[in-house]
Amino acid sequence: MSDATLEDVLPAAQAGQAWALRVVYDALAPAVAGYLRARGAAEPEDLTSEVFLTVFPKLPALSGGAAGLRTFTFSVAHARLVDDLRKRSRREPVAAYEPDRDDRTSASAEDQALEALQTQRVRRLLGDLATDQADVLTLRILGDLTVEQVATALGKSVGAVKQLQRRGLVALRRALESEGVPL
Amino acid sequence: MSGRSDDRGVKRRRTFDDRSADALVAGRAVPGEPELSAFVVELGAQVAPVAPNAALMAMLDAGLPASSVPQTVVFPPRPSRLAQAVSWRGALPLQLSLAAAAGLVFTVTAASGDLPAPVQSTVADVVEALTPLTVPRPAAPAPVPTISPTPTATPEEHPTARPTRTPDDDQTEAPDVRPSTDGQDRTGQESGSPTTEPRDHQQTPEGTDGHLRSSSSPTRDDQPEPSHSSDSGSGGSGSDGHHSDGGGGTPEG
Repeated sequence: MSDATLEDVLPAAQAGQAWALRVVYDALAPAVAGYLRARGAAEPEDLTSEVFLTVFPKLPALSGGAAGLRTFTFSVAHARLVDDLRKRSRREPVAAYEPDRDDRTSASAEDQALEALQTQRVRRLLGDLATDQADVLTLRILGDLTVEQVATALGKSVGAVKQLQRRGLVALRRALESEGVPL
Repeated sequence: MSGRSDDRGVKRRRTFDDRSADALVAGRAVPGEPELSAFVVELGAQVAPVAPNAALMAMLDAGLPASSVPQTVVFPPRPSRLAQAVSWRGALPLQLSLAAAAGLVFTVTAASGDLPAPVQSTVADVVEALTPLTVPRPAAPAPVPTISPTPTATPEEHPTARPTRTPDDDQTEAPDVRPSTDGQDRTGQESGSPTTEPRDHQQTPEGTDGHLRSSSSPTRDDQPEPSHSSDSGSGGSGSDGHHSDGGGGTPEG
């Protein structure tokens, strides 16, 4: 969904109207979940809901229009992701993932498997990058944020974000080449 | 293999300018970077709809609670600099605004002369010192009762001021003369005249006031005398008069 559409519904969302909140959620949640998933969140879906439970009550005080909303949403998502990764680094997972016990449903087993493989590969490649580089690239690509918005979301300067983006792409290219498998 | 590794080396050294980097992350094809372009597409596939959890679903169904939403929500336009400059008062802390309001009320009350005598005179001093405005002086304070014997000195110096200045009778007859016509007559002439009235009818409290005044009077006694000639009525003739009286009185006594 374009920012223009978000711009249209934002006043109603700021007034707390349910239909407008739903539109905002539908517009931004997939990208937020994709960002969290690619960056290695344990439960990206739950974390996405937590992000919007944080964002929505603050909508009435939000300024900056649709771009401001997008930036704010991803800055919250980034903060939640950092918390999640930090928590998990403190305690090792008790049980390994067992697909047989996973009763969640999806479109099809093949799709799920393919998605899982894709996600694993994406995570692995992004894992080869420095954390800051991965953050910048995923926010730029998945969050559809500008360099300035990424700088705001991460609390960095625009110049630093540009440099992280360049170096991240170089590192990513190197990782793809070393992988040796054409995509 | 060696040729390939050489190619790799060339690629490693190659960097990105901002334009090609922006094109890559935006999903546009960049010549010579098929792998990166493909990865961006693969990364973009991570974007997929997700179902909200129960708590978020409840919020999406009910909307935001009314308490967290201002009554009239208007999309906030970016304020112009002029608007920001004009709305500087909005940034004032609440306490400051309350203090300003209280000060305004206090000043208005003082201007109407309704404050207690000591407060009124203090406010009058401050206002006259800081602004060109004149605030009515309170009933002339206590010095009067204590300075009863001095009348003779001043009349000679300021014959015009004398009559307004309280005939000595004021002190003795003060309770009777309370609504004193003197004061009203003088009001037309001098701003200090109203001060004489209350002075008379507040004898008991003014005793204390008078002492307070007389304690500060030494400094004032010096001032009023030179100022008497110039502004007999302006600078609070009531207090000046008393001080002059007191000043005259003390040496004499």
